[in-house]
Amino acid sequence: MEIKRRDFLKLLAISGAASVGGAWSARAILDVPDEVFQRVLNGPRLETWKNSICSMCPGGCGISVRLIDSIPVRITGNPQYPLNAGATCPLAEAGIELLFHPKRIQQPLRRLGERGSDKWEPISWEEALATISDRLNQLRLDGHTEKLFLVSRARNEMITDLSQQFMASFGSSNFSLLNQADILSPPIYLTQASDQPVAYDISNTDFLLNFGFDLLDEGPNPVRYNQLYVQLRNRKNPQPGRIVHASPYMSRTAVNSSEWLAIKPGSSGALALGMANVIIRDGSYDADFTENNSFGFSEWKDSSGETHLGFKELVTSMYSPERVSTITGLPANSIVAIAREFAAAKSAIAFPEKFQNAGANDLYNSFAVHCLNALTGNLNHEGGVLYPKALFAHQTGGPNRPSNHKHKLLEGIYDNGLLNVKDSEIDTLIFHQVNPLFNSSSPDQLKEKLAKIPLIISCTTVLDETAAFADLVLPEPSYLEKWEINHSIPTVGFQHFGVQQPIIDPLYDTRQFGDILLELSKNIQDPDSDKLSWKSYNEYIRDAAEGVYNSGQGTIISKNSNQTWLEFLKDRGWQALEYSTFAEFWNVLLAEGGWWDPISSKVRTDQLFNTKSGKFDFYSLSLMEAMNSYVFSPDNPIKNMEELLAKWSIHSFGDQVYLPHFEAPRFDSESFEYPYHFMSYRLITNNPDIAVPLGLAQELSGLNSREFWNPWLEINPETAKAEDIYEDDLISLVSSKGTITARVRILPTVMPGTVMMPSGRFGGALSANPAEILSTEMDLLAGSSSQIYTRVKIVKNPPKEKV
Amino acid sequence: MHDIRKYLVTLVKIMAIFMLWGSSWAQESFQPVQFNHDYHLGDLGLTCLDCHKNAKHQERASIPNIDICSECHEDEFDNVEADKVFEYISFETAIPWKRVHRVPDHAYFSHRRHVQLGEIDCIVCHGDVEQMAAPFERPFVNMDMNWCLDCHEKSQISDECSDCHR
Amino acid sequence: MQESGNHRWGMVIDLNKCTGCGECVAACKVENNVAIVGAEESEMDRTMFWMDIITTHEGEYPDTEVTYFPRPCFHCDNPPCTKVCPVRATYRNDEGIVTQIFPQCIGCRYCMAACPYTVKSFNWFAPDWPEEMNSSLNPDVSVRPVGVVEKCTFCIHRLQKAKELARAEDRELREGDYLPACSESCPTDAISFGDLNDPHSEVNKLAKSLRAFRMLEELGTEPKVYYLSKVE
Repeated sequence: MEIKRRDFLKLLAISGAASVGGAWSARAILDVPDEVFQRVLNGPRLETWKNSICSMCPGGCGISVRLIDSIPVRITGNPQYPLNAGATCPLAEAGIELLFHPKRIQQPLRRLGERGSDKWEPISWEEALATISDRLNQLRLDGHTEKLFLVSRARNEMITDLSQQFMASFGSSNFSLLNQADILSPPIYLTQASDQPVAYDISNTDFLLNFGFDLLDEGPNPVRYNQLYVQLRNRKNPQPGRIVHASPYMSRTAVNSSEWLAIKPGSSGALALGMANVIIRDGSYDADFTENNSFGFSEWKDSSGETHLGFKELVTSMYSPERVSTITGLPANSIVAIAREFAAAKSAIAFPEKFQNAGANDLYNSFAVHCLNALTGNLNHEGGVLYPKALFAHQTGGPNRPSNHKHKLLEGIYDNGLLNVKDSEIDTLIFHQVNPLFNSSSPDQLKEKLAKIPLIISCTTVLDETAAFADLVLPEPSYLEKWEINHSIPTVGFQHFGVQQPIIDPLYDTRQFGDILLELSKNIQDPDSDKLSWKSYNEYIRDAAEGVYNSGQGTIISKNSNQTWLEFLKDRGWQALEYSTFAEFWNVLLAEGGWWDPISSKVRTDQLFNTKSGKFDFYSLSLMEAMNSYVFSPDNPIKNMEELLAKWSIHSFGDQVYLPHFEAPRFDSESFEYPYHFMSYRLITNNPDIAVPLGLAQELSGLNSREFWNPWLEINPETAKAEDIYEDDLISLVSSKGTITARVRILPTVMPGTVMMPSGRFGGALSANPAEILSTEMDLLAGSSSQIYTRVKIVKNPPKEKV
Repeated sequence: MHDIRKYLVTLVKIMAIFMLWGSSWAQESFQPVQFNHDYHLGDLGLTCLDCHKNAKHQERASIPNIDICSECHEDEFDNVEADKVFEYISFETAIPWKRVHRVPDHAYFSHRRHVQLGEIDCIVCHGDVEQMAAPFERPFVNMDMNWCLDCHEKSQISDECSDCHR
Repeated sequence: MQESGNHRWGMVIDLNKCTGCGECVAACKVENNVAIVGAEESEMDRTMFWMDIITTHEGEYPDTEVTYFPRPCFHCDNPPCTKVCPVRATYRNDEGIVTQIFPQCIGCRYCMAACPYTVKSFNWFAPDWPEEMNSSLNPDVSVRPVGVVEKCTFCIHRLQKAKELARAEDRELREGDYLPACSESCPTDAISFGDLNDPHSEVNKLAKSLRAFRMLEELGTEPKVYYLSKVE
């Protein structure tokens, strides 16, 4: 019988693609566990659905997964989940690829040979955990519990709570969170000294002034912000809101705004202060707020009778629209116009720039922007900045930093990264779902540091760059195979949480980090330490859910629950849905996917402040106290405030240091040698957390640029002309630190004199990581490099070997 | 001449061995259990849908396995094949049926449409299953597109390509 | 076909609501088992997007207007592609869907040349699929072998299922019963889909809007995908 192409199709239910190497190569299918493959071929094709939460980015969208014969085939949004209302982003769709990825770690591994040699020996969990427990017990015996370091990722998940509790019960305060950039980092503690999470009420606002946070591609929840932006601009009743994006790059977020204002990098704070200048001079600020609820707005005298500068004096004397125009590059009358529009709006939001790990500039920029909200009376009311109450412990503590962390105020601008901890102070380092060797701009320095640490453990899903340097690798399941409680209260502004549950049994011999911590806690031999009593992480989150159940607040999400109806019921003293036992509540919770309480009680404005003044600090006493106490702290060798300020690159002095002001950005090199300003940005499909290139995400990343699997460099037509560069040219960018090569895209959305490049993981022949050339100066956390202060020069026609 | 005869004899010997081997091979069971439709449908009075439960409401009819067999085979019966089933049930192992009816990936066939909406009897496509003492080794008829279209034409059902190819 | 009635399936995409996020593209790829061609084939412009996004830039820095156009197959009522297919692997069915019958296609690619909107993709020589491939296929859509043209089908498999379900429940097809994956997954509801012949359907109303326009209308292809232009 002559075998024709289509005959192959009869042999396998999954078509002949496997044999002819067409649509699906045999390799791809072989990477799926056999048992799964059999079900795909021969099963009855029964469809089921399961709800969970996506973890591809910190957003935490609710998902509904379609399963055929218990194998996931498609991830869609959970229509009931109030965060994303049934929508997902393209990255969510790639979750199944991650689940079945061949590079997943399948059992615990112990390093053989040198660190980084990629030789591993599979070991049992008992052996792996025993090794760690022995080490931990030794540390306790020697009284050196502080030498245990845990570095995890900043996500809105309960594992942060448990990690915190574990470290506390063990006796170490060295727990830090990386990748803070996605989590809103408002200067709440600078101005309010409170640990409340903050939310921005975009749906109800009239004017959103975004100072450069690309909310549609990164941040607290890109999906939600895509929806909010469209809803706000298309709103019928009341009239549509206006969105202005002030940034150096016309990102997709800027495209989807009503207007883009091109401002120089690092000048967002100056713009906010220029606006404040106009508003104060016009007298259109909220005098009631500044009078009764703020401190430091005007000149004030301290207890010794010394006069100190106030916000008003500083702003009106130093931030005229003309001066700000020089700093930002915006015409002075644009600044005046924007300021007046902001003040005149019934409700308005000034949204601070993303935390770029850019030192003093970052700190004071977001300080200034937040003061703008306070100045115009937009705190704690509809359409402005909201303060939802925290539901779980990990939601407090500043921008998701553990609350017992010392000097958290200054973490952005002073030495607290791993790179600056003395070698003798670290014995055991645990990395949980973080990959600083990829994201950091100083991987070599970090590797040198790691080389000196006796025991390194990496708990992650795929063997990434950082895990390659570990001594022990503990495999965590993918998010589709584990338990968690997630939320994004800063995005929605009310209390809610979702339950992440396994939609398929773990494929490999993996364990959740929570279960690992609980196991380790059990093995700590010391009657004084408080052991964590939960038997499993599932029990831990059940407990948390039970706490919510017992409070009697809120309700489980369902098809019929919407905010108006719930308010109606609450007014009449009824609970939307009642459950007679917690067991019943838990079952329904798993079936529906989440819980919410959109009608939480509001906090009175005067209760929002934990400052010494008891009010909103335009003049930050908290910052003053933190800096002064740092001068005298034993960790600090520089006992002189002037020198410290110089070290932190704070060029101002005196009162100005504790007021919002403009700190010039510090670049890594000189412009005569490196004429162009290089910045990287994030695409929604390419989150740098992802440790392997996912095919779907790689092809989707190139939708707008038509460059797939590789990054590209965006250059303004003027700059291109000056350098004689054409579309699709291959060029190299050289910084004081390194060189990368990529293809050119000439676009009018880029400022002249700047070069933009998407960050993340790329898998093609020209794949490059912008971190390779990014400035190392600001990378104090050794986790996330400064995205915006690097200078480069262009080299055309790079030698072939570089490609 | 002599050589040709020798050659022919060898050939016949080889064929004989092959046929003997082939026939003994044919006597080995194709399926893991010699399921007897005649007994279950005739003597016991079951209907197709009693075991092939998905045929009315799903695309695939499904081959029943231990979850359905155990509804009756709770104990051992006095029968070699039934004992095999009981063993699979006791060890909670799926019976490894060899699938015989396979719709290719490029065609869409929905049992629900044909059984529930079209009200077609199972034997029309699957043959006189009620008379089968041994389980399927091959389909009753070669179910190629022409065969499907033949019935569609006669019953004046759509022959639009996109209805079955997607 | 008894069930076809007088449906004429069409789509309206509101450019005021599209943010260019790409979810429609992703949803379509996963729903329809569209191949991920890998790095090398991508270099040769062989990526396959049944739903694609065209990004346009008008004006100069800093006053540029950027627009994102999601571009599925337009399922023309007067399709050029069907006229050139030698084997009737692509044809316009009674309900307006321009079908693509993969087993019938001989891979001549005349239809690809004929389509003025370049919506068709071709499965070139065995693409070098990356190992990390999604192994979870949608059983409702066939997987195409090498040498076959493919394009957006308005998720016709979902129409089949919706009709079957409606018949099983002894009722008519309702608005919203049948939505292609792109329309269903759009986070901002920018993509509306339905029966243009139904006077009460959303697409019918939107298609008549003053903002509505279609691409390359002068060619006389009568596309059934309408765009609603942006408003300031």
